[in-house]
Amino acid sequence: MEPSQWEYVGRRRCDSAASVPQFCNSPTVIVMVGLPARGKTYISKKLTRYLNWIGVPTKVFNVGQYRREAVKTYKNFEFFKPDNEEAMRIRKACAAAALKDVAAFFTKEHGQVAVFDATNTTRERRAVINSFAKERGYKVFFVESICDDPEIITENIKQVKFGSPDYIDRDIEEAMSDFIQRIECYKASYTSIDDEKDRKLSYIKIFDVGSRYLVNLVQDHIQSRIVYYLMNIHVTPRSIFLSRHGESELNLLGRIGGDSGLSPRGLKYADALATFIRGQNIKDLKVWTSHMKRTIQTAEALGVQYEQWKALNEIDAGVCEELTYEEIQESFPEEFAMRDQEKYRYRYPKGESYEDLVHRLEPVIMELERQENVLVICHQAIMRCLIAYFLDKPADELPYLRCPLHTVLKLTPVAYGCKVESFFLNIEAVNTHRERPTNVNVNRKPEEALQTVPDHN
Amino acid sequence: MPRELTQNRIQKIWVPTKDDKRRGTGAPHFANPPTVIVMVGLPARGKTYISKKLTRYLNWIGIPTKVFNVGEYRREAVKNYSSYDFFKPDNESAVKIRQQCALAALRDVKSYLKDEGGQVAVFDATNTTRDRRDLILKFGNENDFKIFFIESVCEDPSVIASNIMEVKVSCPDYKDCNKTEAMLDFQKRIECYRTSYQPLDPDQYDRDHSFIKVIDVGRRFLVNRIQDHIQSKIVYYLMNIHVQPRTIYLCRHGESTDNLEGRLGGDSGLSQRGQQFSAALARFVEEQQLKDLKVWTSQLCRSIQTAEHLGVPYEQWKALNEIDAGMCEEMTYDEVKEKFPEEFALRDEDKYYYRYPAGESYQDLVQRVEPVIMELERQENVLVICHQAVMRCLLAYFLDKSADEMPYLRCPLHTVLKLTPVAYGCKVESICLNVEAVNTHRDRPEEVKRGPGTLIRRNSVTPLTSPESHIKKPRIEDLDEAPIQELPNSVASLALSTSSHIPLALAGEVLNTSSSLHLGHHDIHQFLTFSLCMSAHLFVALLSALAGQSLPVSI
Repeated sequence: MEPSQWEYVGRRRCDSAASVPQFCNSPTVIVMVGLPARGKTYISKKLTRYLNWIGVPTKVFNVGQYRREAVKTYKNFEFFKPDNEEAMRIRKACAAAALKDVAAFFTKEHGQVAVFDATNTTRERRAVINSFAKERGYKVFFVESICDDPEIITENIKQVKFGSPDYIDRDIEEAMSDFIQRIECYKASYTSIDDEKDRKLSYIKIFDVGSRYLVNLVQDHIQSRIVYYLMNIHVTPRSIFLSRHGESELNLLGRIGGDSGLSPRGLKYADALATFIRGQNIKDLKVWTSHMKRTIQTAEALGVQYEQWKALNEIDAGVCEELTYEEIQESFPEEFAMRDQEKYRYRYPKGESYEDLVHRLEPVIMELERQENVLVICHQAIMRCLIAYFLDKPADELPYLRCPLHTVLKLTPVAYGCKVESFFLNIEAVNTHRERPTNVNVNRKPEEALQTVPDHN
Repeated sequence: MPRELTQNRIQKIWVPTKDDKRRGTGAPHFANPPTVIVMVGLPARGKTYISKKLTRYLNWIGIPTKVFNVGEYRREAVKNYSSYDFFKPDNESAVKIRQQCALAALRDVKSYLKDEGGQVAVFDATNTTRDRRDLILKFGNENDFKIFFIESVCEDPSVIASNIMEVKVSCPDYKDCNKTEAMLDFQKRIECYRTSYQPLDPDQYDRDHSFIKVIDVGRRFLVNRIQDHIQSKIVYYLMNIHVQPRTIYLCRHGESTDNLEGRLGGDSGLSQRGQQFSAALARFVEEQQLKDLKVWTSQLCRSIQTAEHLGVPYEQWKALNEIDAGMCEEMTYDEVKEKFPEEFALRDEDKYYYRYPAGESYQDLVQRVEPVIMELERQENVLVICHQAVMRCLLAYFLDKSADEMPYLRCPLHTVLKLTPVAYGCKVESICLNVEAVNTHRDRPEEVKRGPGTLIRRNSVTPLTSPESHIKKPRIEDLDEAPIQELPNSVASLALSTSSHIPLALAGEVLNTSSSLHLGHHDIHQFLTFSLCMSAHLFVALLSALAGQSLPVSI
């Protein structure tokens, strides 16, 4: 049997053709716990982005959004007073609606992890969620964020609360004072997860933005990965610079893969990159490259220490290594078409897929999370995977993200996401981006297949 | 002007031309400065178990790590253990000896981290008082070592009793006692420590220290102030290991058609005999009567075909694929020798670090396979159907084999290795399923010259004893350069007042194995090459130890 048929046969027995086994059998509900402005939504969104990137379908259910739907205009903190019975009813209904959507996500949309983002500050509320999950056979994992440092709280409020729909028409002073009173409304009834009474629950408590963690009863692989991720992220301001190697000899010839050196323009880019980096005045910049000559040559021009990661090597094109697209179309027209049909999952014969790349890059991402200022000099497919992680791009968009040569992307975390700045360093280079052609059928004509191939020598 | 680059011949790593020495690993090194892991906890809380396991893991991923067990130093100093009275807090002379032992061990830690290329030292002792821990923190400060505490807290009497039975009653201290006597004595020993035990205090005293508290054998963890990558990995590892009894089965796919032709790599299917093996494997698995066996394969045809015969669900891991022989894929060894004679020779020179052109090395494999190991640690009963090089990597992890030995471990076709964790190591049983197959093993060629600057990864077994008294190894009496400045007066005077010479100790207990693995030749080879990297007097110590003692097998 042909290897590709084996993949199919394999799929009968195991549920996925992904490069790693899928370990999520029962769906998991991650329940955030904590007073307002403790980073719950920040964690929810970041964790969701990470889980989706590694291939675990995840979604955030933010109860605040449900509340904003139910109560069109937010007046002031009085809504959150514990004795406001009307408001209490609405808030309970919102939580219930969100839980209902969680169930739908699992049963109808093939979701695997749902992040229930709300304060969940009372034992009662947490018990409700726990029963809800138990009844349906879902696992529950609590993530509690505890922080009493007034500076951090104020900073959080400034970064994300002022821009929230609740405060859109207020002035900053007013918004700040209202929000602080909102927090007070929760404080009286706030019961932290109890290490004695709740010893049968699975949870992680995060203290002071990651200075300390308490982890209880990790049940399975996904919870273990979540804990590891949470322990590696930080909120210290920093920037990540992503760039490809300078234009290479093989780039000029329109050939994919290989391990060639830089072209003359590529060498110019390396110098321009060095100038650019110096101009950025970055403190303690780490520089990472792959094991391939072209990225290392690029890094050499910087005149600083750099680290080589094999994991950053370009996608392995297997039998198509060093061919032009025209040659691939001639020798492997069916493979070429199948790649256009499903570029994310398609694996080159004896090579890799984008899906394999994501798996290979996961330790790089984990270390990027730990680090501060980093410049990563890598390759087209690799850069697409990294950008997809930082900018939360789904698998079908990932292989078509634009990562032109001689352009540096500067990513700076801000609020709940990432600011992106693109710097083209003014050195001409070939275009290596190939859009998806209109006809992806295996029976298409060669011209249709080669419709979107960029020019080359 | 950018520097000229060349690709170093063995690892195929691009380096500036002048700099052709071997690079450490395929991934950046994150363990500068060196780290001292300090175990904390009452006796029988799993400190030595954790120390050894963690050390084995760190060495396997390429971080030179070594355990320094103060109990062993004490056994050297006090030849015969009589009873728990030794550990009574008011036994002044014993207290002196025990402090000297700790200092001697710290001295060796310093030497390992500063002079012997070590990166992590695991200081395995109770370290139950603040005084003792402050001493170590000071030591770390003065030498620029990072300090990371691992405290094991457990008050479940059945766990403690079980630990005592597994590793204490058979330890050298109790060689002349029966089990009940040993158990009773040991429990009284624990009580000696209890009154002075000051657990790590995350709220006040230890709030700025980096540590993990492991509570009730991993039910709960308290993690404080992780400083860096290596501490993060250590924490992740500790959170994934468990002590549930279970068995791991490792085997290769059935014989493939490529195997029959002597070809490397490729993606061929099973031969006739390979299919027979798969059927035999299915019968074997059934006979084992395991509860909840997970079956893992690679994504190569021959491994999947083997699993198909089992008739149970299995998971495919790309990470378990055979080593990528790059340009040599699907060639026979003779063809490789003919087409790439230089590559062929280079591989034999340094098989662990050698990367096939456009392919992989064993070193790359270790990195690739690491998530599999992590998941194996989490799981219970698992059968892994993989390939020769991959199986060698996995086996090297479980049996604590060095980088040097790994590429020559014997993993014949049609043979299942059954690994069962026991005491501090792993019991190995080799089960041949009686279906003929070709031999795909290539021994290390005898005439190979070892390359210059060979980097040998340290085995985590402490080096051998020097029973000879003329061996000058600075231990307790030779404290002309006191390792710790500003000792509290009492301790300083103690350190200088001893008169007995204490030679190095043989580490660990010798565990019996029913394994049929071929160990002797390679172990000696490994120890000798290890000794090349040590100073002369240690080398002599090793030789005499090898002459006089049976090889300890830390499996």
